[in-house]
Amino acid sequence: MRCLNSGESKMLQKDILNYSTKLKFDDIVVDAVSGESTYLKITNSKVDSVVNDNSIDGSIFLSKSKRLIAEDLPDLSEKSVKKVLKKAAKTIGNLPPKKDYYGIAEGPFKYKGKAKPDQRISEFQIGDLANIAESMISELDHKNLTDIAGMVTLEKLKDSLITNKEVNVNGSTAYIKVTAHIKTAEGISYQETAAFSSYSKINIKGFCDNLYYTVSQIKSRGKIKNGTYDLIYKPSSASNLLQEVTSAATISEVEEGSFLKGKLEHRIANENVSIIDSGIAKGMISSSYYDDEGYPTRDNYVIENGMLKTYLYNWSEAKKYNTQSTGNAGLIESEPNTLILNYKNPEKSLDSLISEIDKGILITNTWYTRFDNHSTGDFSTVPRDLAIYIERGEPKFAINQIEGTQTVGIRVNDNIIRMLKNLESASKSSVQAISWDAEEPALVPDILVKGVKITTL
Amino acid sequence: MDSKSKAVYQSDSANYFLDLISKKTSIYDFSETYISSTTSNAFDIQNGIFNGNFSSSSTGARIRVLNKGLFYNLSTNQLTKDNLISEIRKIKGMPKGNTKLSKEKIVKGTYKVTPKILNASEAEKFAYDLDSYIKDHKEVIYRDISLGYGEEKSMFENSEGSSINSYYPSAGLSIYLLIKGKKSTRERMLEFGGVGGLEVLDYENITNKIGEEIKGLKEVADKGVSLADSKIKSIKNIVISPEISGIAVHESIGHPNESDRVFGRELAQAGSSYINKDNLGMRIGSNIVNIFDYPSIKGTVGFYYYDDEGVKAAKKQIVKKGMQNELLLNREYAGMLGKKSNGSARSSGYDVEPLVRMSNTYLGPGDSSFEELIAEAKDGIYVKSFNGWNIDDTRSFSMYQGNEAYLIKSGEISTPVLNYRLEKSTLDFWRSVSLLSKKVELFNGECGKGEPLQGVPVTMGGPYALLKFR
Repeated sequence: MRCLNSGESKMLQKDILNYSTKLKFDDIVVDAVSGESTYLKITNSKVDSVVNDNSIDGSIFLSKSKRLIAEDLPDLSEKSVKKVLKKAAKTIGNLPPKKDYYGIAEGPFKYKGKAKPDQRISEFQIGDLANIAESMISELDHKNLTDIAGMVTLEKLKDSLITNKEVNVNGSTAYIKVTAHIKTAEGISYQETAAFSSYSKINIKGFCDNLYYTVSQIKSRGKIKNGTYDLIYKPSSASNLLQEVTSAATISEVEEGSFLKGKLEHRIANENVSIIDSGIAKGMISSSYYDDEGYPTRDNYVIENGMLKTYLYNWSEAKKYNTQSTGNAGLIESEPNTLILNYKNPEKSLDSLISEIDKGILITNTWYTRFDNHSTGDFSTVPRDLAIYIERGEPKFAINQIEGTQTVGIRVNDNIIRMLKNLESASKSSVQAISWDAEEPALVPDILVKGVKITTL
Repeated sequence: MDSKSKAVYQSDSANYFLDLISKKTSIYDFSETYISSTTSNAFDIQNGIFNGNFSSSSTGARIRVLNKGLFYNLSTNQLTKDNLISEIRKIKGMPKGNTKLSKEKIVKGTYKVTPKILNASEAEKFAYDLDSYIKDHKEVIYRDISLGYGEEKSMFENSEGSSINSYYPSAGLSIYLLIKGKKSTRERMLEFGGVGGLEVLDYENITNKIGEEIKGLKEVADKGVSLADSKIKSIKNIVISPEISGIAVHESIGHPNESDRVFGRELAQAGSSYINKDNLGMRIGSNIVNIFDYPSIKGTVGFYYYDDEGVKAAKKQIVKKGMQNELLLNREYAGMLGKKSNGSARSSGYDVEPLVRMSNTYLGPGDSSFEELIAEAKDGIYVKSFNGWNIDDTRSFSMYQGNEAYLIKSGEISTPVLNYRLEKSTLDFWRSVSLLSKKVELFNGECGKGEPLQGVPVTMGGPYALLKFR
């Protein structure tokens, strides 16, 4: 096997663009992402392993007479890139046209929201992550917790994008993400994830104290019955569910018949609820001030005061529907940016939300959210790690339906639009919420949803 | 480019890099190198509109080193001497670990699958013919066909002397259908393909399957009845299809028997297991439940000769006569348990670590016919396909939402049902297995695990099964 991407001279993106222009493509987007991703895994209260990837990923998007080719470049060496482009020029004419394609974003554009990564995080090395992992283990160990598991992640990435439509942008990011799973002496499990893009905000002790505070409120485990309950979703589970809304608002999903099809200007949520799709939210690790074709991202009010106000488009899709791009490219199809939930005049703490509930459940984490039918929005999801039964305003016990296991053992059955309409309250503190099952963060508070069907054994 | 790099480029074979890495990592307890080169092509036709051609190719190396009991997985696609040495220099600054690897046979060889057809025009023709076939079904109001094919060449070496070259082509087809009936709509995702060239996609079988699916789902969308919760709960006899057997095997047997989950390595990611070190060998199912994981089924997407730690693929019997029998093991957990690995380590690419994974996982057959199962059920339900599904993080409590399902009345299939949910505990589910049909069918899927998340292709399946709940 010959390794094509050895030390041959690299082609600059500008040169790739110029060479592509000579081959007479109509639209050209050249993108390159370089950097390092490191994952330190923690298992059974010890650092278990290190995964570190240091790669450069290049890609090119080309069109000619509505015929489209997208290529991941094996490397940016002149020989490889020219080979790919010559092949593309030869084959593109033989492809069928994408009849509803209307080009890429035509700049130049003015941008806002460009953020610089924190230099001190950019300088982090693997050894620094080991220190974070060990201090996390030590903090949790001192609290007599067991089954300590988790991950410390460092991402340092640079992206640059250039097109033949007067776009030339670049961005970079650096952040630390920590996840910790714990079990108390009473056998109650819990986990949380936090991300830090500012060095001064890295607070492992605070993260561990919060983790312990949540789980230390509960000393016993118990069972509940099938029925209807008021649910408080902590931010990581709220993020998991609400991101289904912005996905369903992309015009590509609407065309497939998502539950938001035909509902523009209809009330689909409580009048206090607004959901914003944002590329420029400050401090969010997912923010990017431009989308995949270099169009400026912005705050899009998908839901405003309960009304569905817009779908999400890339440039071509917007042309097709005679509207403006919302900064959500995806070159072939639109994609959501970061979700923000705004609840009008939130004044309550999580404790005061709990105090309002007569019979309910605090859900801390969910996974396997699956739709029975995307057109209606009927879904089910499974709480994991820790769910707390609440009665007459007081947390009572950790739900554990199957003896001999750590499982919560309940299933949430709802409809997304019903959930949005019954989202009756929210806490005042929104956080950058991430979980293993919702890798993309959202900026959300704790939310209270009334009258949700719960099934169990 | 400096002169040093140029010299390396002239010696740009993977063998050169394998030698270089081998020398530079020789001071460590153990090392292995995996260099992989992949190419793939895919396209998508939505409602007859060709969305474009998507291609990718990549070459990269993973250097995996065990130093003082701790694994470092270092990967890069910048294959220069300087960069590889720089990667290896990252091996420092970590606390000691506990990892001890199992002793395995040294293997040297080349293993490959030869494709018969692997070209763009054949793929395009196949997909357009399929699109025309589906378009003729007016009840299908949205259709999306994705077809992809590619190949992977890899070289593997470890410090114990194993050296394996592999070549695997693959082809895959995904079809999404939205079917409108008089009372509701039904969604359906169908997956086909395997290791091999485009010949693994059998047009006649695929169109027969699609035709049957559209007909059945249209009937459900036209005439399906909604059952009350109390009625759903009262149904005790359930006939499940090979598709439902397969997803249940995958979710509630395969995953919980992955050794890394059993011993807590996935607690904060893909979860844990109802199986633990104290209940190994426990009763999971009835006496007729036998469940296997077998990578060596040719033509399947889960096929491989050797796993990503250089261990020969083995047939594992996870459940034997209803009893938990064998965990899926990589070298780390085999070493911990004082056993040999059973070849279950897989990675989705050079840039991630190998994890304990399934391949082709299935419920073994019985000796009844489908008709006998329906007759024996008398009054109950037949669940032919599923749509939504989910399971908890210990794999104890699962739900499969019936997509195409029918009531069974007096031993015969009758009214279609819109909203049946098979929601049971894992042990109740498997202990209720009463009869099995003779033929096992496998279904394709992609299985996610780990962080960063890795998707690997798998199959899952089984025969028809009659579940009798008390």
